[in-house]
Amino acid sequence: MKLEITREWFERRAKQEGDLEISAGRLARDPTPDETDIEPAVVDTADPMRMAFGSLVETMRRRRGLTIEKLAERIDLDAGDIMRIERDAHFRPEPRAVYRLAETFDLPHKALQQLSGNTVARPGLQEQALRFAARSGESPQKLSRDEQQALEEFVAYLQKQQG
Amino acid sequence: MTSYPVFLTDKRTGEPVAAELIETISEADLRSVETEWKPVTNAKIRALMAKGLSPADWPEGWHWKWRDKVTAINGLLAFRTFALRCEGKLQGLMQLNTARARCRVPEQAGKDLVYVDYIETAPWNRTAIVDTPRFGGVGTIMIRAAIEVSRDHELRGRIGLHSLPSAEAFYANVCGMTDLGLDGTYEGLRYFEMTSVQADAFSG
Amino acid sequence: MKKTMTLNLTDTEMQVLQDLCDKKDLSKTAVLRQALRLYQLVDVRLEQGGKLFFEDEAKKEKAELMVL
Repeated sequence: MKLEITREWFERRAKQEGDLEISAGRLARDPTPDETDIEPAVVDTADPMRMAFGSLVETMRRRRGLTIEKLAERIDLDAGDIMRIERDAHFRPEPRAVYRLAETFDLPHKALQQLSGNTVARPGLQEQALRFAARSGESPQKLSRDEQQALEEFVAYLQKQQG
Repeated sequence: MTSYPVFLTDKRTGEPVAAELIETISEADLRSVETEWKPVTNAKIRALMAKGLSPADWPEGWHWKWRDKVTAINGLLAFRTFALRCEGKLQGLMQLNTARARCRVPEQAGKDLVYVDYIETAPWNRTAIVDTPRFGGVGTIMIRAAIEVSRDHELRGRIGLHSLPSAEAFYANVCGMTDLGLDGTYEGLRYFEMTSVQADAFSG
Repeated sequence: MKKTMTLNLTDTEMQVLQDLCDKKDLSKTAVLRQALRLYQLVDVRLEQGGKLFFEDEAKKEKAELMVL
């Protein structure tokens, strides 16, 4: 393939592109090796909870002053997996990993499996999870007072839900 | 691995800067999506959730899984993928399919074309996600590359794609592609096709 | 890097190839390369358990295409 782009051509064209959106492709689902395998519609509702799960793991880890590597070591998981658990809402963690996380952070197993998307969520969990996810940030520093409070409230809810 | 020297616009200075278009999306690119793109998109989604907005109002394409896309086509000659990198970071991705579709525009109906399966730019380049985008021109480079792949296959620059709703202005006005309307067979997305004459005009 | 090879085709095959070249406005090499891309794609999809259909929307007919 011949791709020879001059600075002059690029400047002229890119100016027209400006800040326009450019995404193209299938909107609602991703292709799989088997094109007929349509993802279930629950994906949209499950994902915000999965994001809350990522936030929860991240804030719990930070509260304990653990690096990703240290946590990975403690629960015998790949550091890359911890990163994906925290940051990639599409990554579905193994139930075993969720179990170890619950153990490490003293959180109820069942509630954490629901949050991770491994089991069906009880009513009310999604709403609480969204509220928590919305209040937690991504700054690598210490937890803010509000983040701390959001974390405590959510953990208390999770524990009560199992009680 | 083939790499082509290209440009992107540094939005801080407004000047073009050197970038690199690399053929075939690598494992490192997929990791960039997961560890660099996702946190930015997720931060935006969190902010939108805090405002009470539902997934329908989130930035389009937020759920795309490039790892799955790339795994599904691994080793197939019909697909070609590209990664655009600048200043050490992944700025855009594209997947092309050379065996999927035939032209619909009457003057070239029935002839083969290069179909653009997916194009995406990094979240920090999108005003839908950040207030001040970092780089511009990703769409320009990707469409030019798709045209060159088409020419490489003797398809004379003919390309086709389904635009996400927010990107229609780019394909219609900037690329000068023919708008064939909403496509009921493809999730109701708008289908655009570039004729060889339009391809010559765009790359000239 | 491209490699060159000689291809032996019957008159009929050559005629079909020439017709495709005319219809698609492609060289013989381009037609054969496109054919290879399609053949590989179909073969891999079938091996993954997929089926290949031709569907006639007007007649509401769907015929499975056999690929050996």
